Amino acid sequence: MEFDKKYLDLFGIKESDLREVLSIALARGGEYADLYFEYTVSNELSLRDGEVNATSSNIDYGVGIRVVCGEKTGFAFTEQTTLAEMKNAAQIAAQIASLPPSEAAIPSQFTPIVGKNYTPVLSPWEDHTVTEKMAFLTALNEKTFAKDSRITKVLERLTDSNTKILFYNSLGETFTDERPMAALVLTCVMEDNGRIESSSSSRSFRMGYEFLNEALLDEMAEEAYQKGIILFEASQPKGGQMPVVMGAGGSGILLHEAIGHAFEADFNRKGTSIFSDKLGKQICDKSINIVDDGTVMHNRGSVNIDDEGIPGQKTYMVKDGILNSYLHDRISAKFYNTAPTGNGRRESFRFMPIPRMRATYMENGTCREEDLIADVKQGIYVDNFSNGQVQIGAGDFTFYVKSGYLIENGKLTTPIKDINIIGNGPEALADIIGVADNNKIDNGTWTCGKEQYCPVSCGMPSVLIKQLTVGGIN
Amino acid sequence: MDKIIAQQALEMALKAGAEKARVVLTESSLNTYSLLDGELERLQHSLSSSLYFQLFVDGKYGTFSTNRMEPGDFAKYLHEAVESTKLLAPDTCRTLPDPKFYFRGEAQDLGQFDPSYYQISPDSKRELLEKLGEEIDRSDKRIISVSNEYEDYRENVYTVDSQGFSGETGQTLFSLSTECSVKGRGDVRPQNFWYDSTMFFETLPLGCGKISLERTLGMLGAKKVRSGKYHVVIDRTVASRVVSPIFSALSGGAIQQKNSFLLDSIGKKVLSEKLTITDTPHLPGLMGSRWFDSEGLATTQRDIISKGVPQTYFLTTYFANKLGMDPTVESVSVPGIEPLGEDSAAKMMGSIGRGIFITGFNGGNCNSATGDFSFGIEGYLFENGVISHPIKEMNMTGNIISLWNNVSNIGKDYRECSRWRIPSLAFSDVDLSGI
Repeated sequence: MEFDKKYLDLFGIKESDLREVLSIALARGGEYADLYFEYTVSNELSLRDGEVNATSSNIDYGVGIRVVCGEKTGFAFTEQTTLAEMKNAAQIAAQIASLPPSEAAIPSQFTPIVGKNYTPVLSPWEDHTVTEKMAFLTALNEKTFAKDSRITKVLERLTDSNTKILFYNSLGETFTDERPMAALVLTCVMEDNGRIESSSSSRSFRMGYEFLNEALLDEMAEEAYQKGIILFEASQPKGGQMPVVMGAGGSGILLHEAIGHAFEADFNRKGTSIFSDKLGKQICDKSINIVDDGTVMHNRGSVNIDDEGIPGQKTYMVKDGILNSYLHDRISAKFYNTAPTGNGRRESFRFMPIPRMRATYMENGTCREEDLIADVKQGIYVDNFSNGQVQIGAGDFTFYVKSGYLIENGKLTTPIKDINIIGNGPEALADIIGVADNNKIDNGTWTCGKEQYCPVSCGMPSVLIKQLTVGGIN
Repeated sequence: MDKIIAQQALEMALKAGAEKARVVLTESSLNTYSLLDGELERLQHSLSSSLYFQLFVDGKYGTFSTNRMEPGDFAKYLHEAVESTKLLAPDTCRTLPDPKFYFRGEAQDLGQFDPSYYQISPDSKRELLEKLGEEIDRSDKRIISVSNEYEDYRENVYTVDSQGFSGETGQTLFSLSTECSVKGRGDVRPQNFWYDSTMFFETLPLGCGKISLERTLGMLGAKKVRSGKYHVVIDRTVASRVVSPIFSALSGGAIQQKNSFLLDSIGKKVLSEKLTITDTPHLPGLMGSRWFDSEGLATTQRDIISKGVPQTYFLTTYFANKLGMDPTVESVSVPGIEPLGEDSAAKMMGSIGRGIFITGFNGGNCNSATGDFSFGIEGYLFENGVISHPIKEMNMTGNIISLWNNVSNIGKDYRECSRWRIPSLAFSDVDLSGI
């Protein structure tokens, strides 16, 4: 294949160099090797105390070299793409194997891996000036302060980046990719009769400058305001086990923490996940379908081609209540004798790819949200979250609720805030007794921290869970 | 490290139009070897360099960073960063420090760099790891897997600014860790870990394998406990979780944004008299020790909290200017509770009788504006002063100020390898939710 010459020039390399590096990588008997070249330019602009008064930019450049031998991985990276540096890194990564050199030669022809483009850019960020971006931050500041005189401080941060990838592996496959990312975060501090609360809203998409528009600003200002004012009326509720209605959108954090990580096949092939023996078994009501999707247009978690050369795809983790598929990288797919699912992702060239989620959501059910609430005599409704965590083997997951409401006799009543909810993944999944028809993906700045940081998103229709343990005061 | 790169980069920034500038050159390397069930599973090597520019241009502020170290590779972008900075709103609070706050004089060696770092062979690292792998007797059929890891890290940082400050630091860190996974009741497969780390290879101890397995097996048979108010003892390994919100609330960023539950608290008694936290940044051989922070501000030993009274905010030059105060230091270096008590966690449980011994936190968060918190917890119910059984699916909820006003005992047993010297802690009347 003729590489796109601009990529070869960008990294200052020749195709013959890459063949030589791959050969060295497999010289000690490795079965598979790949080279992941990355060039990322990112920019940030921030507003504090009414002024856009700080900017930053960053360039990151290098190549990660991985050698796989069965389930073993050798990995090294270099920030200099000279042949000498790449050969040195390849020799280090090759040491994961200690066998005679692989007899499989690097193919003489390289076949392009073709993926769809789920992240088209209309207006590249590099075509726009700082001044143009500043106008949006200033407008968002004004829109936010206009909401309420109790707002005392506003902080904003706009980031944009573009990553160029060149990939090449020992199977004779190659691809290039451009990966845009945009994110805007708004935080406001409010004061009411000496009481202080803070709230935030965020949006992130794989888009160009078209990400910024008036509707986005209006939506974010209103969301941060609404999330903030409720806190003045809210308190930590009485804790204990109770029914929980999780509102549509960000409640997808339940899927990410309660089952998503435990479905990542690196944990399962090692036998350390609570779902390790559940493939093909019924794990929840047959009306429930849960998806991990790399194909949602402009989504923060979408991948045209994953970081080890597998085209982006939509994977049913749970189909009709049955555990349908784990989330695979190349290593786990080979272990399970199945096809990779396009979940091999990495933070950057500095990291080896591992199974990671993309956009994880539950498909619609048939209930209405108001009916789910009406079914609860004493419980809580939650729809505003900040973070979560899970113990993969024990299955215990948690997520932190910034705000929500008590449910009393089927109605939302007193606002609540600042509580952690804890449950057990398989039990919580089996305890979902109602799924609404209002699925929504939350497009906030969700970032997963499994060994390395990775942009993801999540979504869910409103669901009723029979019982979770809610933090609170006794 | 090649300091000339940073000095040349500083000159480039000034030539590009910055009135003042700071350049930070960082070089680091990381080596990792992992064994899974006795077999080498992962091998990782990395070597990184970066240049970080802070640019003060016409009263405006911008930063630029790159890992492309050749001037020809980043000159264009540096120039663009300066030009972009000119377009911003001015911010008169963005300045280099008043030189009187710089660290001056000869920095004595803080004993943080192992000179043998470059001579340690991969074979000796793997040999150590293999010895660790032999610690666990695999005849116990409950064991699903054992992961052992060796890691070494080196970082050298050189900072230079246009007011004449320059400073260099170097640290090495070596660690061994073990994570065990065991078969529990039903599908449950508890996991737990233990680690040790030192700044010198020859002092890196073995032993974390056995401790890791003990901690993992100790989780078998976990049960939920009834909701209520409990005495809790928080183990030294995780006690920093209830200290860190205090430091966050005293940070300049939180104070300036009025997003802090310790706003206007300096000099006021807001926490228990039992709590005094002192920062001791010049103790040799510790990871957090330093003579100066990233701006070059001199660190000093100081009380952060004295008998329940906050004594200082953590103020960079920027936030100090914003607040009309003198800068202090950007963050804590080696904080510790002083004086230490006399008890271990076991002795605390013995004297309390019944409560929850918290050995891990599972998620949760703390509201920076109010101090309200809610954390998932792991650990044990103890009765009659001894551990009864492990617990699961429980939350600890409250407010950091109220919690610290209910501190009942401060232990003596902080971990030597921790950067924060926080011992086991006991609190009374803590809200826990379970059944």
